[in-house]
Amino acid sequence: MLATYKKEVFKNLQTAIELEHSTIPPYLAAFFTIDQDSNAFSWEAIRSVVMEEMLHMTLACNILNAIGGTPYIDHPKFIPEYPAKFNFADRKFDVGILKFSKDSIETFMEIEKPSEIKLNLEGEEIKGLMRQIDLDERTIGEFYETVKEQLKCLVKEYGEKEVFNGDRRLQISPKEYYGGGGEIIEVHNLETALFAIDVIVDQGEGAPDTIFDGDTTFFGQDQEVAHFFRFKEIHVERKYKEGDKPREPPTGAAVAVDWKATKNMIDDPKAANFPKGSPARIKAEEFNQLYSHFLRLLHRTFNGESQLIVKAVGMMYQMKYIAAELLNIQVPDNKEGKVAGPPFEYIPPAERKQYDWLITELVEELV
Amino acid sequence: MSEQKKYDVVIVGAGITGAIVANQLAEKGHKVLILEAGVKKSFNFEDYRAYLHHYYKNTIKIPNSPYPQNSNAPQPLVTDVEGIKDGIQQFNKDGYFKQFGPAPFQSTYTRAKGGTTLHWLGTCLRMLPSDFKEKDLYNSGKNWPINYYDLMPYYRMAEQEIGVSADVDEQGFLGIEFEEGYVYPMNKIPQSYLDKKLTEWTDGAQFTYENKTYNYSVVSTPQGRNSSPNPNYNNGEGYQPVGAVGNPDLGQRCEGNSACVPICPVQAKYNALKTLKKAVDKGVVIKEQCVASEILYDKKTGEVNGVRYKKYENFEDLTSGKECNYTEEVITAERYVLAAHAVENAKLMLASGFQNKNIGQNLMDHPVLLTWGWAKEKIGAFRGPGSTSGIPSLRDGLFRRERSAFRIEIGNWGWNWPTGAPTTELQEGVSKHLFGKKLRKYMLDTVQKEFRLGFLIEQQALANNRVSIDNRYRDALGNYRPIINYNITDHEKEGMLAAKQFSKQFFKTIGGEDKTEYDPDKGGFIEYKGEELWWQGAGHLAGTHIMGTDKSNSVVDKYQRCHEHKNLFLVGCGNMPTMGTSNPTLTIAALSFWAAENIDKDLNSLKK
Amino acid sequence: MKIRASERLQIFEQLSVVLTGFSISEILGTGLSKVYLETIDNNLGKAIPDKLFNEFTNIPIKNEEELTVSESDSIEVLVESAEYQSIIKQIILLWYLGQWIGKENYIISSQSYLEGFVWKAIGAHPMGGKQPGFGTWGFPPLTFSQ
Repeated sequence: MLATYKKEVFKNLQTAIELEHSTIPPYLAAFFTIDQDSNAFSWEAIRSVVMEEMLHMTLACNILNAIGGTPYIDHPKFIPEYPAKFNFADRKFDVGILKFSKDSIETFMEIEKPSEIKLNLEGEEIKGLMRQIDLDERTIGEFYETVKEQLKCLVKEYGEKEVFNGDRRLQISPKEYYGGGGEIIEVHNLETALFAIDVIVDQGEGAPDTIFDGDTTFFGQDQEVAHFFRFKEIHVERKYKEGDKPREPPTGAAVAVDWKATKNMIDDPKAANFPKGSPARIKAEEFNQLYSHFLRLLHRTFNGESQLIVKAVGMMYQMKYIAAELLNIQVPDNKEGKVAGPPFEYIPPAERKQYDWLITELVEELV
Repeated sequence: MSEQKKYDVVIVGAGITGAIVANQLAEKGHKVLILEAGVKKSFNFEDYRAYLHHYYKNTIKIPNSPYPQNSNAPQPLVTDVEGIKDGIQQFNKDGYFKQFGPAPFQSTYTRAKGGTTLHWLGTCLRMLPSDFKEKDLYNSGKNWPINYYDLMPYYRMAEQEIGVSADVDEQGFLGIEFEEGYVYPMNKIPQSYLDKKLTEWTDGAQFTYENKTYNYSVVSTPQGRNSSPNPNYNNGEGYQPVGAVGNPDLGQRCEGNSACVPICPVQAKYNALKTLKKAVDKGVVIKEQCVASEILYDKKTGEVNGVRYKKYENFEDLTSGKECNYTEEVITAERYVLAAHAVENAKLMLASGFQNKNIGQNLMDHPVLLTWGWAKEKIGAFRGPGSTSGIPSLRDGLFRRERSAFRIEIGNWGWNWPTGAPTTELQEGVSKHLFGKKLRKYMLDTVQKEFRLGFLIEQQALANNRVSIDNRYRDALGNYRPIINYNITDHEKEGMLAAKQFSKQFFKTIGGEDKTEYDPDKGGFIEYKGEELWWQGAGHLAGTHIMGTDKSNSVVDKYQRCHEHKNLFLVGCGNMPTMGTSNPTLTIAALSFWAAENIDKDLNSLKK
Repeated sequence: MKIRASERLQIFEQLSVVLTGFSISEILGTGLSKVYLETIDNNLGKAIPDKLFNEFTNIPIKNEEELTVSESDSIEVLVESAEYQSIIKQIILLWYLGQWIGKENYIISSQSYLEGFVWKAIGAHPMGGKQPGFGTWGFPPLTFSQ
């Protein structure tokens, strides 16, 4: 039955949304701890990767909506608990909320490393909405390949109209995305769905056998190396150049990376770990409140109120400024003089507060 | 010409007009060199960030505050116009301009790679068809040798190059026409909350003046800043917003930095670096720190045979008054283009002994009458681009026979321009011994209701308003400092009077509070027919080498070529015989495309 | 009472909460309190600020962020006093504008300009920084409850 088969694809696409989201808090944390002037190259590289992860999340939502599914974003299990355990077939590693450092960049490279690596995320190791991101020992690329195959099978069996029967008004349009490579694709048939998946995979891993992503081929944009290679460039402080091979180190121009010019953030900050009433606690709670409000707005954005995306983006800017304040506040009684940081913790709707400075969710304001 | 020249074209000035001409000619395969007077800057985004930090740390945040003063190529500053003492306008005697008044010339420009587009607001209004034949229609101002329809295709090119955001349905007022099916590259910039409220409060409003009644309405303004692209642009091809030079992912949308003037931190607002970068990628050479000092020409034929320039090296200590080291060189080409700015172009031609009497004359600006007040409720001042809407209704009408037309610009940044808000309010609060939460509340309550109107008053081209040179006034490199003689006429004062009346009625209509109060000691203050008026410069310096039918009435012909120097073209605001009430950048960008086309044709005929 | 060096910064921060109307977490969130205290010392020497800090600590305050009427009255006396009104004005302007206004007049740093409380106070953002994002200027203004 189509409905039953579809449910499986729904589940995979929800997994995709969570997978894409799960990398954003760690990337953002590293990004927040450096500044645009002393680490210009890394700042821009991480910024662009984060933007593209958000694009991937949006693309996954568009596909899910196109086939009549429902993205779940504002949900207690949507944010993994950091450090999140990434369990690959050949090794395991933690992904935490860490400051910018060689270590955190290495972790990011692990996340984005193309092919070969088998993902084997089982049990409760990533606490996503479905409690697990089970990719059945596949790479991320293979996982998305499966989704493609599933969609193709369904279309073959039931026809495109039956499969892509989602409300077209739920699609997020290309005009809403900017600041990174790629483009939002409005998904309404098999072709656009497959294209959207190719964009996700190529931006992360690189187009097959190259260091570059597919943006040049797909969108005629300037050539850009895929995420893994962008992190690699930071790590070895050198850019790739045309002709460099995926398995070999970059041979382009040297870039300046100031590993010391970072905010000395505590690992995996949690609001509850700061004393009640302390400035660190107050700001950490503000951040969590904001992040949860943000997820709510995203949830509504992807479920029929696409005009709210303007507000969600506005909230992302606010997050950056509160994170910057947290990173100026000393953790009480910390012997190494570490500073607080953004915890990215979920606050249930009943406990959410409205602040004077917070962008509200009101829709009528957008008229 | 037998001698083989290295360049087909030499352009003086790397601002928007020079950049467009260079880029267009390079596209056609010509070899182009640009001389730029400003300090050497790369296209790396870090170099641009340095401007931003300079702005942050400058205590006086005037339009040129991000762009360091450079004694080798000094620039005028708005602070050079000082107060009125004993009825006489005072000027900073060390300022770049030597002003002889009687009225203050309050506009400035930027001498740096990218030119004044580094600090322009980004307003991209087309001129009205009537503005091109003002003399015929209203017996006022001058006629252009071309009309709106001649310029239409070039407006389109300019809107593409700059990347203009607007909804075409809203822009067809007062005779402005667009080609069938035309849309702007990007959707309109979202209007501010203030705009929306003013639209609501002025629904059906009228302005009554001298027994006549005018309808008016708030209309969003076309802007050269990035918005969401219009998928229908260019017959459905769409448009890709152009981000920052050296960091193209940044600035793909206006992010609401509220600092268009003096500097957009992400380059979501167009600046000429974007066009220059394209030109350089096509092989155009920019020679920086080269200040043109003389155009060499054959006294008999008028043919230009070189540009003399001073190349300076040291620029570390620019305001020290130390003597500068420079070397003099001459560069030659087949065709020459002056794109150095209206004042600099005129100055350069005068310094070179050009004989056309119109050079330097007809200096124009838009005197901006400012009024300000409180809305009846908090509208959230200091958010968004400087202006997102205006009131165009009074830009045209038969009244132009008697008085100047004006465009009304609605300002989103509270009273920042007229009073220096919010610092002024803060100083007031603190001197009332307010502190803590009371101070916060005071700031919020006063500032959140603030907005201002700017009335851009059309100015006529007159011979006596002019740029000239005098051997006594020179800069550190020995180049001339511009001498300015400037005044405003009763025609313009009548326009200001009407504007002031409009403002009074407007604040009543919207139920707000008119808080306009002019300081009689400030430059730009006048009293006219019992009404106090105060105006500022708009930065729209124009008219110093206008186009026309022959050398008796103009410097260039309709092709933008000098009547008396057939291989010399001029571009920029200096060519405009009238400015109407449009901010001139879009129009001079369009004219630059037109000029480039003419130069290309001219060069091709030469190569045959 | 002699103020110990180790306490001096904290007292300055508490005084700053009272004078600016911003919470201690906002004050610390700027990362500038130490730099600002140095700025004051460099321009005025330590004697005047120390005297002010002493006067301030002599006023018993339960919670700097929520002054009672009588606490506020005591502060007001300081604010209006001939002796302290000048330095208090300078401290407020330093926090609000990131600028030292005295014999010399200068902005401490890019960061101090961007952290100026004046922008938060008016419900906006510093001109040229901390941009709020595309289209946000079309939203209604934020409503501050106090």
